[in-house]
Amino acid sequence: MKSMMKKTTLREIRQSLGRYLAIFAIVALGVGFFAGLKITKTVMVESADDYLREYQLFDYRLLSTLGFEEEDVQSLGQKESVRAAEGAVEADVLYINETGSEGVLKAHTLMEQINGLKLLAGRMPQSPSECIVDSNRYDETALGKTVLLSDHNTQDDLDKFAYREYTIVGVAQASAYIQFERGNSSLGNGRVDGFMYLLPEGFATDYYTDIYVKFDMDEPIYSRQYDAFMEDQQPLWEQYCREQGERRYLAIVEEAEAELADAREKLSSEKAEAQQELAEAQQQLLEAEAEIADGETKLAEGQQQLADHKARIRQEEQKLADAKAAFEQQKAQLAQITQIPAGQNLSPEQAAMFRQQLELAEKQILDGEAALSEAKKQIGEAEAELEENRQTLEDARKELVQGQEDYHRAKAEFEEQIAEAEQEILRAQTDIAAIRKPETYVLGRDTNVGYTLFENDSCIVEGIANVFPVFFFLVAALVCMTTMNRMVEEQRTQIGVLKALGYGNGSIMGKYLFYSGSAALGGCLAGYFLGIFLFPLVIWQAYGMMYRLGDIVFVFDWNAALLCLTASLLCSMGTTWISCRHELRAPAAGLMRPKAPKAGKRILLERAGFIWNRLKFLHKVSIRNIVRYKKRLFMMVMGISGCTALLVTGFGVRDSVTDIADRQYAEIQTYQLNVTLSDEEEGDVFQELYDLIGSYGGTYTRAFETSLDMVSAEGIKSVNLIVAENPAQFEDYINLHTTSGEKLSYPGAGEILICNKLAEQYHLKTGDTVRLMDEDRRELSAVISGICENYIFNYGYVSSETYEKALGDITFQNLYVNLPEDIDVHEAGAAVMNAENVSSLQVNADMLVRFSSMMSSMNYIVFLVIGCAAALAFIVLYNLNNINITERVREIATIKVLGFYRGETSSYVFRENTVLTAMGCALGLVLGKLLHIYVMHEVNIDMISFDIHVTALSYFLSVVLTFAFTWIVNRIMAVKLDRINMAESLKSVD
Amino acid sequence: MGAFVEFQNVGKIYRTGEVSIQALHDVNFQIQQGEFCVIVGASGAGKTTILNILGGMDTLTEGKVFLDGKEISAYGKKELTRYRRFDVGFVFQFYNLVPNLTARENVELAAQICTDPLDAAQVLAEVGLADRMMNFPAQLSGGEQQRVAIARALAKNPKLLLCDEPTGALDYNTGKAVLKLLQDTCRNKGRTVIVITHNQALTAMADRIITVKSGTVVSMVENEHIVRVEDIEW
Repeated sequence: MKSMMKKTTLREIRQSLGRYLAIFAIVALGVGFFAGLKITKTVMVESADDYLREYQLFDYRLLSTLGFEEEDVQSLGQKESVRAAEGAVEADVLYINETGSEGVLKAHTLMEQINGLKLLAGRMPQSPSECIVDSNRYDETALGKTVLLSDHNTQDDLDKFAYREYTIVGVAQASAYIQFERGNSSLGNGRVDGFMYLLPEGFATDYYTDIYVKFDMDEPIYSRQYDAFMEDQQPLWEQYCREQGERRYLAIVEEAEAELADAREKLSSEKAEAQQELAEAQQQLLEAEAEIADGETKLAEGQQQLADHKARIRQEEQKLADAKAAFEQQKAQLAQITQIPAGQNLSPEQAAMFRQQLELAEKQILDGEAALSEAKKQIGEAEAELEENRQTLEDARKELVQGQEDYHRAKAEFEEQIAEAEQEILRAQTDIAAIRKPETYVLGRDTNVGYTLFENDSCIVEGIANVFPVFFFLVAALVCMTTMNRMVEEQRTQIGVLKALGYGNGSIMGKYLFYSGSAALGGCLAGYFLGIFLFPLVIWQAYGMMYRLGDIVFVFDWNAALLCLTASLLCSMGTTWISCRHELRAPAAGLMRPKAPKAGKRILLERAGFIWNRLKFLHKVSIRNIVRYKKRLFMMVMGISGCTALLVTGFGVRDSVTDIADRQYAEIQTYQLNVTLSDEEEGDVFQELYDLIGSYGGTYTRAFETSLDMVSAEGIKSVNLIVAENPAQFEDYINLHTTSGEKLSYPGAGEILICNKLAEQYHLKTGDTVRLMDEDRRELSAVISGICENYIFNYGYVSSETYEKALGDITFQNLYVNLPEDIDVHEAGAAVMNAENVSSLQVNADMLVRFSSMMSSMNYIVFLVIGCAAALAFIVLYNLNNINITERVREIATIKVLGFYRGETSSYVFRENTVLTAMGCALGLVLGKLLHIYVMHEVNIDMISFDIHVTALSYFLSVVLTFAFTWIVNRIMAVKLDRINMAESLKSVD
Repeated sequence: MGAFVEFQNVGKIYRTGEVSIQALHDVNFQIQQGEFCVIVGASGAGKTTILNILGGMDTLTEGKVFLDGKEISAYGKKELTRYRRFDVGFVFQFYNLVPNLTARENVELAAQICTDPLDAAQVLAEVGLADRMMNFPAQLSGGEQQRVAIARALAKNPKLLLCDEPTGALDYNTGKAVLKLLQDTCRNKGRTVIVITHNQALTAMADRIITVKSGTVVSMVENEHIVRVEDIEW
């Protein structure tokens, strides 16, 4: 007996395989969708968790405005439940890339235990001059090349690095950078190209900028346990940090003060010494003066003596002249004597005696003359000597004057130096006084961009998982219900017979429960396993474009599996039970009597005679039929609208995403090149460049670009601020307009234009005031004069006077260049790049390609959605048509007997489908639009503003596809229609 | 003048898988235009198969069938459909009205696919349902429903009216009324009517009686003593 029931059940399945498979498929689809999307978040999180655990992403990143020392690291490493604490340096630096333009890299210390790297090519660095670079930016061909730091870095920045050039030995992805974006920098064009990891010795700093801490626990990321653990740690670590900061502060101040004291000491000793020296010099000068005075006296004395001598010589000369004269007289006397004849009065003796006397006198004169000339000679010598002395004295005096001058100069210099030194000491003193106690920050993982965004993204998936599957389950439940309802109704005679034969309600119901239950169970298992494999894989692939993580980890979730099983069994067996119970309540005899067919009813439309009377007869029939089966109408419309809505959403996601790069670079930033000038000085240095641009037939305008933080009640957001030099020309390069295409004029003084993403995210509107802050916390506030369309990055626009008034002088270091259409932008770009004073170049065509390819990851999701939509449409349409046809076999047979052609018969039956499809489509378009908006708002990517719109083509395609699905199902069902035997019309109603 | 309807050595074998059942063999009969013919036989005798073949709902295995000089048995699918559409009107045992069409609409359903239909309202008036035209089948009694069915068959203005146990689901009086209607149709409009029934009593009102037994025609007689419907009893 039992086995007969089993047999009839199994035969039932074989004979109505289409129906059985419909239940199977709809349950599989519902479960697959639900389980797949539901598990995707878990898979994403667990895959990320695996990766981050393997590479030990930090738990805390500690920052101090004064930096840290090894001692701090040691002491924090000793704290409770710390697995590792490591000091690290982080520094942004300008580098020269392959094309010779400048970019920004973020350099990090390669730590031993925390924030590990997943090496993709090459090896880890072994020497301080080696580095490992970002796989986002470099591939393995970079191995062996170098990262060259630019000369345009400030000395301070360069001083942080031990070398100017680092050899690339490895390419890696970093656990601290799981997201595609690398963040902003105050250097260069404000965008960080990638990271670079160096050994600690690769940096030249004597302090750490960060300390990274990893606790001795590996709670899953984003988990409540993790948050709870971290919440407990937070106050402790804030305290630790303050203490370390305090200690560091004291150490620094102490050191500085010691240095200052040394300096003072040195100053005073040097001062004393110098004073000593000065005094000595003064003494010497004095002595020299005295000597000179002495010399002068002596000289005077010498002159006196000389004068005396001269006087004496003159006396002697006189005497000599007298003596000569006397001698001449005597000689003359002698001659007289001698001329007197001998014997004249003079005896010869006398004469001899006289002569003797004369000779004597002559001799005496000669002696006197000799003595005189001797004396004269002596005087000449004395005069020469005197002259010499005077010369010496003169020299000495000159020397003295020089010495005195030197002395005064030295003294002045000394005084100046001392004053300066004293000034410096004073300054140092104020500096020391100005050393503020350090601000310390305890930053958790939530400050890591990638970590946070990944959570958001996985939540988006979960958000979507919460909407779609409910819908699919609803459809599944309805499909099961109508199918089983129909089946039980079809077989009421059989049920009646079984009852009449004495089978209990339980075993009769068992057949149907088994029928639907087994289909649902099979569907559930197939759907579950396909779902948890397929969905995560596809979504992981899609997100793989934006995240750099490890391998996907598939997860089996018992709870979800049980939930799916329960839900699908409830859907199938529950609805079966309800249908059966209703029938089984009737007595056997009643069941064997034919059930009165559902009565026809007038419909509301018939009252509107002017429409109704104009309808073709068969159209009226279809309309009646449509309204006849309300449940089916509802299901069909729901299924079809679901299908259309999914298609609209799918295509819409593509529309909203694929166009943005085009719009950004063809409608908004219409310039072709963005040239960053290296030198900040103004003047003719750029003339060569301007001429070059001119030679290509290009035009340019100048602007200033910077990155500021927008401060609002809802958080801080980095904004690229653009200041145009010449607003009148600006619109030829950047077209500022609202999202509805209205032209916006360039903001005036005190005004700002912001992009739509900022406005939406921070709920800003025209007339609101925004505050922008620079690195030094200086503030620019301006009134929003308009909200401009923008898709990639965030931009704000102000006039130069607004900027300069708030934040100081501007150098317009960016050139936006428009080139004629026939010029190859890359060729022109290369030429521009080679020109003097150009530091970097961005070709908009490249940006367009980059973003377009990034956005193409969305195609996976779109195809997934289209696939699901198709499946949904097929299952629902097939199942409902199946029911529809089996329910109306007699009617269809009669129609055929009446002589309806094949085409007429199928349109008699399927016209309803077409009408219902049209209704479903109409509803689906509306639902799709809403769903699309919802999905796009959930899928919020930080740097990109989606252009949330669905093109007419997408609506059209959705409708066409939906109709195509309907058409295909109709074609399949037409075969079934053909098979209906006209003899059915002769049979009795059963 | 040849027969209006002629069966020549018609045989029909149903094959389902391995089993083949001979439903008809060597069926021969003729019916003249304007006759009221009753084909009578017990359940399973093969009369429904004859009806199916004559109605263009089924094909035969051997022999030939002619209607109005045309060989129906040689028709293809499409031609059979055309044949059903223009030449034959059906009246079913269970009326087979489309439940969500009113009486008039059910008639129109058939009428609107023909090239030369009768006016639906008029036909319905002729079958006595002038005031029930806007009712749905569920709001009509069995007899009324069968009249609608007859009206539907007549509205096509067919050459042949085929009725399969037209009284089978009706009570005695209603059945009689329906038969009267069919007979009147035949007499007044000169339409050929073939009624298939197991009810021997109905043969009394026929012009021609064809008796079927075990898959073949055992007798075909022209009735000399036609009885009025009102006088038949069963």
